[in-house]
Amino acid sequence: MKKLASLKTSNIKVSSFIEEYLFPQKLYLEISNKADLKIKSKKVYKGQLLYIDNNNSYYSPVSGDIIGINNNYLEIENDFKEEDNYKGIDDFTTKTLKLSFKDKIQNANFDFNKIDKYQNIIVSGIEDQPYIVNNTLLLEKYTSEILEMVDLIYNEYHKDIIIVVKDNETTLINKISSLIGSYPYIKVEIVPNLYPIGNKNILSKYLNIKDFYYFSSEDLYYLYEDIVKDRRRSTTFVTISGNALDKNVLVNIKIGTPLNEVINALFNIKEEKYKIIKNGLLNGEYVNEQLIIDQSIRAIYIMKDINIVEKKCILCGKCNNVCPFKCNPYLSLISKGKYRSKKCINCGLCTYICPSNIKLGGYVK
Amino acid sequence: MTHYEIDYKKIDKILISLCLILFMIGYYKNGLIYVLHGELKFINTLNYILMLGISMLIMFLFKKKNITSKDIIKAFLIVLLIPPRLNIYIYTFIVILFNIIKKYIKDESYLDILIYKVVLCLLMPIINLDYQNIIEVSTNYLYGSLDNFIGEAVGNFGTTSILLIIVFFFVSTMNYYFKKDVSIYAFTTFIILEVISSLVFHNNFVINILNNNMFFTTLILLPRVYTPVYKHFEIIFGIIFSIISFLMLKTGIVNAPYYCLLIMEIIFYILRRLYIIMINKKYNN
Repeated sequence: MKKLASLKTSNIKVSSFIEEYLFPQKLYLEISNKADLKIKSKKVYKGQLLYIDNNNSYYSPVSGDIIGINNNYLEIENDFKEEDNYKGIDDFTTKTLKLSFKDKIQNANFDFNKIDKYQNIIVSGIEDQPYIVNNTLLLEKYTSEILEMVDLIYNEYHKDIIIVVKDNETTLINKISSLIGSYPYIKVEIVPNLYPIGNKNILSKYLNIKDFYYFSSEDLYYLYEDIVKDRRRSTTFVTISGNALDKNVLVNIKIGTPLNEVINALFNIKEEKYKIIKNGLLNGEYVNEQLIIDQSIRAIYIMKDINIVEKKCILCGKCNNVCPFKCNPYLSLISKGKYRSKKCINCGLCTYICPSNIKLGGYVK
Repeated sequence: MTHYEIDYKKIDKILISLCLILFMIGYYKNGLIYVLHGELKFINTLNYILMLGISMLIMFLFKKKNITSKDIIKAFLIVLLIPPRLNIYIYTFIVILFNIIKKYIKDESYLDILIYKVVLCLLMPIINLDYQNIIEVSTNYLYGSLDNFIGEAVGNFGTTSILLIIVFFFVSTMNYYFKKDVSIYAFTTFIILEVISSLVFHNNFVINILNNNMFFTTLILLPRVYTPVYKHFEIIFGIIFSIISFLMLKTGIVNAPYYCLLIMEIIFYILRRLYIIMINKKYNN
């Protein structure tokens, strides 16, 4: 494994406040033809099981009426009442306290048996891609909640727990340090702000830990809401940032909300020409404003559209030098993409560093 | 931020400034100093300024609005690399030819500058030209190591200042994709060979090392032409270049580094083509 890279970031600063967009007019949930529908009436409640698709359960994020299925999307009209038949609780009740962990996780949307076969659990408070703050900010804002969830898992499975944070996140480090005393089995590892240290294989080599289950802070927060607060997941956190926007912020959005609704409500786009990228400036995907926000979306970048001209390779060798797994991106280039190393993690560093702007191993598609 | 960005314009501005300083040193060394000593008339020195003007003008005519800072640096290098007594008409012809070829090659490397210099080197014995200027040709000067270092020795019009060539190299390393390793390995090999040679043949290795053609080729041209992508081959390329240049210099070929680099570029081009054909056959079948 080679030396990791330090990404050169620009002036985009993501705010430390979390905004919300929780009242969309309509929601759209992706559904395939093979989905097993569980809807019995047109009226649905928040948290109600709607369908099972590809072994995943999909719950209604809002209360409202089912309009129908259009273009592989289940359309729900929001009645803005937030009625649920899956009752949430604000405080611990004695009933909940008496329940064993196994009873609590019975209806959870996560298979906890996966954890059992590992010796360690890593809780990631780091983000690799530039300008994404999900794990970092959620761990900072909901430290007690996440630690509580970690504590529940520890009491059940007795695994070694390591929280990983980056060295430039001083506020987060201070916050965790102030609370960690109550959890003597939790270790904190501080890693350098290099890319792509968030990759599991690289993190494993850096920490010298081979056998671990990987949780992101975001995963643990949703689990906490699900198991401890008895609230089915209805929202998702998305960092919306970019040099074409007036602000950069982490937004809590209802699953199924169209992106254009969020942008129109919360942001002003400063540029006439812009591009929208999801999930990574180095290896994400170009999308349009009609994108529907679902659980897989962690970041949206709205960037000024710059004409990037691809030039002839100048044989500088930087792509090979920067690759963390020595995947030989130059060979991939001269074989016209036919050769692709199995070790390639699609980090996008080769494309990022190329002075000729050639799309090599990983890039924004 | 999908691509690593550096302020290329800032680096190129510094390099252009260095080129201007090299031109001024060349102009002073090959003209102005003799005017001050009364050995030459001022009007006789104006051809160098005219040559710079011709280089810039022809570049502008060919490129028009698409001029980049790299084109300006190349336009300077065209003047800096001339033998001091080169006839202005021959010079103009070669510069026009250079720009015509450049228009069709469209290469960002300095291969065009290397080819231009090799053409000049091959032309020199034909038109009975060497690196002495108009005064040096009729006078015997004994140049020491310090003269070589600061730029007073015999050489190209504007690349005799080894000190400034080293500064040019260090400024170039600010550019992240500048291949400094090939230069470092090449130059280290050359120094080792000269030291060994001086021990064997009892000569002054300092004077031999301070060869401005070798400095210019190794530090300015070599990292800017095509060298292997893979690190170990890049180092081998640099070492082989040094060894062959050293041997050719010992046989008395003054322009050895330029010839050696061009020959290696041709061989490397052929090997690269063969490698690409082999890779495409392997992965596209």
